[in-house]
Amino acid sequence: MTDRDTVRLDSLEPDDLDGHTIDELADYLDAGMQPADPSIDDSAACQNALAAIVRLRHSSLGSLEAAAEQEAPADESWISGVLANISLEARAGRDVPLRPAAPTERPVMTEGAIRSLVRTAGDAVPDALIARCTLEGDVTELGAPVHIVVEIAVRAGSPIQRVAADVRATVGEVLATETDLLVESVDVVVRDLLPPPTDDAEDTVTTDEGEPA
Amino acid sequence: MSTHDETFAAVEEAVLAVPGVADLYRARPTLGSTVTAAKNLATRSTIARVVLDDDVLRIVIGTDGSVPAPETARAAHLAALAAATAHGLPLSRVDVRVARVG
Repeated sequence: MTDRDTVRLDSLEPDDLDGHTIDELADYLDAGMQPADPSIDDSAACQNALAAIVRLRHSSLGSLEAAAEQEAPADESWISGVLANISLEARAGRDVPLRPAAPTERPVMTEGAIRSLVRTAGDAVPDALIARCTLEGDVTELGAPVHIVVEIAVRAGSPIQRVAADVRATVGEVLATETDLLVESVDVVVRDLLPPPTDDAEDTVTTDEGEPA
Repeated sequence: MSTHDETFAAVEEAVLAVPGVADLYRARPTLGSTVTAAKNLATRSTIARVVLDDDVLRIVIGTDGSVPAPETARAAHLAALAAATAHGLPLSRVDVRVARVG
């Protein structure tokens, strides 16, 4: 198994995650989030990052075990890259306006919440794992056109075009529902192939026709 | 508890009761609210998660995904406005920041 917990991300500043580093969050997760740390539990940025770390571990566990047997250094590098992206994306970032309905209302959604939303939606697509999410355009202006770029890893053996199309559709739908962004495009870039799952995990992976992937 | 503490507690309770609201995070303090928080610490009062800047209330929420975030933010604004008004705190605006979508 890959020792991904030892991956260091020293280049990231603690302020990125309300005073915590991605390594600290990983350690907190490993400790079962005990003893409770209010500075983490009460931080939206930390919660966004923790959720992404959990999904990263769950969705890639089988593949990472297989990859670790073949090329551990590359695997660690890939994981550290995704963790770095999670840390950067989970920061609150810019305030993205929502459409107010009254003069007493000024609703916004943080850029970090939107990127986390995109990551959550994309990770839910079978055989896909979000590596990076970028919002291009002036998201601080209501009604300004925005382009979404999602970089993904696809599990080897799965139909790449279909997975990419599913990610694009899912991300577009969730952004239409949960934000007031004027999304002009969702571009999906397939950056990596995840190795097939190990034998244990393979039993549970099937294609649309019900055959093992 | 001071009057403001009671009002803030009522606002927090009202916002957390809004369908779709899962969490209420501490709003980033301004200089004025930091001074107030420091005073509260000295008097062992509860530190509110909402921040009052003059007559603008700032709240930060996380949603559970059961209701679209824009609707949830709107409802949270209405709930906060109503609770504050009911406790005699006039507000010109409620700034709702959605920091997490469940």
